[in-house]
Amino acid sequence: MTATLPLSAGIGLRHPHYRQVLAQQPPLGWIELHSENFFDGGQPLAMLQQLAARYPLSLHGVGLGLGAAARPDATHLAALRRLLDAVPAVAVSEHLSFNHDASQRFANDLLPLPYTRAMLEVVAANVAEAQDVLGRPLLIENLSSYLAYPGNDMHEGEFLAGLVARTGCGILLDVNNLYVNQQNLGTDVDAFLAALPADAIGEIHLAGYTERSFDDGSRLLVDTHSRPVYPAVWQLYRQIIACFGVRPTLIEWDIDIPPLDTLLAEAATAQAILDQHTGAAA
Amino acid sequence: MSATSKTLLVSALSAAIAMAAVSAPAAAADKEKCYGIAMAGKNDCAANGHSCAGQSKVDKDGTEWKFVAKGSCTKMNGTLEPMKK
Amino acid sequence: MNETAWQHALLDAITTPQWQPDPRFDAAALAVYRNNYRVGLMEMLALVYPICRQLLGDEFFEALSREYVKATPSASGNLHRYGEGFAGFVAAFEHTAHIGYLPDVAQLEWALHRGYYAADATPLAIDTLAAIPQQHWGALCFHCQPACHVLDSQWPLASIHAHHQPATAGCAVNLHEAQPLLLWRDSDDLMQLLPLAPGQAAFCQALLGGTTLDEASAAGLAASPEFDLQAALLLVLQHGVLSAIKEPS
Repeated sequence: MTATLPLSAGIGLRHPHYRQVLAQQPPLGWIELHSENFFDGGQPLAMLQQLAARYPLSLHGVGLGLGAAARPDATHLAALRRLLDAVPAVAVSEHLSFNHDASQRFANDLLPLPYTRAMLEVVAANVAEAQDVLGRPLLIENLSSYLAYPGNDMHEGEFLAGLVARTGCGILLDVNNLYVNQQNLGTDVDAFLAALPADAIGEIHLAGYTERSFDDGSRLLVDTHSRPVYPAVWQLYRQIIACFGVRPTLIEWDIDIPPLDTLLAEAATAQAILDQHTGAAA
Repeated sequence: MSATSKTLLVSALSAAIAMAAVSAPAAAADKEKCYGIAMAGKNDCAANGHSCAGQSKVDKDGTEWKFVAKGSCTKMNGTLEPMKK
Repeated sequence: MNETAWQHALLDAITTPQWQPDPRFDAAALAVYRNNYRVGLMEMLALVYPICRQLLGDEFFEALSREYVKATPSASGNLHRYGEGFAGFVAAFEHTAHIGYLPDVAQLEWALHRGYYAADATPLAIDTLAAIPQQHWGALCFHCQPACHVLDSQWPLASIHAHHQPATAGCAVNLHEAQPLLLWRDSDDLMQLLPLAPGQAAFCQALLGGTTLDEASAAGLAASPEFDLQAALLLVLQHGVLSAIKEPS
């Protein structure tokens, strides 16, 4: 990849704000949009091309499901390739999750996968196949999940490191997902971070979760991406930046989308943290 | 294809080409914008695990069908009632 | 591989309409996934089929969409692809089968939805056509704009559509009037629709299906003695229905 995302803060851009961002062109390091919303053509693609002319663009896929035991859907992969041929994206990412099986049955969600040696080889082949078709490396994002495969013989951080070693892909580190997993599943954050090859981390995501209680008194933090970034997640983010250095950082909000100014204010907070660190290092 | 209909096609297409070359679509000035920007972006719901639907709404699984259509099909101009043609 | 079986079982547990507790999957966690799966697809249907929803009312439509999701698993990682079979489903579903026009309205909404996202195509330049010797016109076949669609309906689809648009809400609908439609995407990338005169639906459908101009003309005439070929040709030229001439294979 020749171009990379700037080492600054951006926002996940969703359709309520497309026109406002095009009209006002607020100062933003970069923007990220969901790949699938722009498949094929028409007005969505035309708008994406206009946005890409004004901001460095990251395309974030939600539907490829590279963590499946089955191969990626060739139709989906071809549609993504056509999109990349039509729009100049500086970064392309997918999730470490699965959404289908070999019978082409899909759940349109980000489902957790087994973290085992055997699975690592399968997923590495999927990532390699996708990168071949797309003609560029992908960033692969860590997942928030509520279930774990009982036979895991490694953790997600080790799995990601294995993918990087086998395929040359990069890592998209979602700090909120990591925090949510720590709270829900008891994920060891330090062990997760220690396993990551620092150079491979090409992007960071920040978002907010929702707490949900159940009749039996149990609770889950659900990764809704519908809230401001929580203080504990900001704290973890500072720690990660201090450890790994500054990275392109995205404020991501997927439902109950607030006014654009709220997103810009969150991005400014992230930018201030990046600036502190850049200043300290200089 | 008969000779007559071949002649018909040639004259019809000649005329249509001539008209299309000089005139915009008839209704261009006040055409109905029937389909706007609202359609964009539904894949946001699949993003980031269990986001939209999973939390904004909890679905209850009813087993017994007890629903009656109450929308515009019952009142559209007084004529658009459920019926088979 | 056990991992494959586990993923398969998890997909089963999420997508099956009637879930039985399964010791492999935590009930609370699975509830989040199951709910997200079903409600996500139901909300997709509500977005794709707004007129059907208005026709039936929110409560009825939601129940109907729940039944559709139970019967119809998702077959794509792109949510925009979900819901193609809705017209066929409402035609057969016992609580909607008596609403004769509903399947055609659903087909219209699906065609509008897919047309909005369809691949771009440059309209055929009039000059290109004019430059071809007239004696060859009849044998021409065309690639058409992917967003274009013909609905050969016995129901007043244009009126029903207009009845549910803000600008023309509540306008009269004569259920005894057949309004076959041409759908296309205009130069602003917005979907447009137009009721077709007698014979035009057969003509456009043939042309979109890849027949020659001669065959399409014959189809129009066969469908209606009132078929006006010149008007039909002008219609497809003005709305950019044709995008390129097919090379003979």
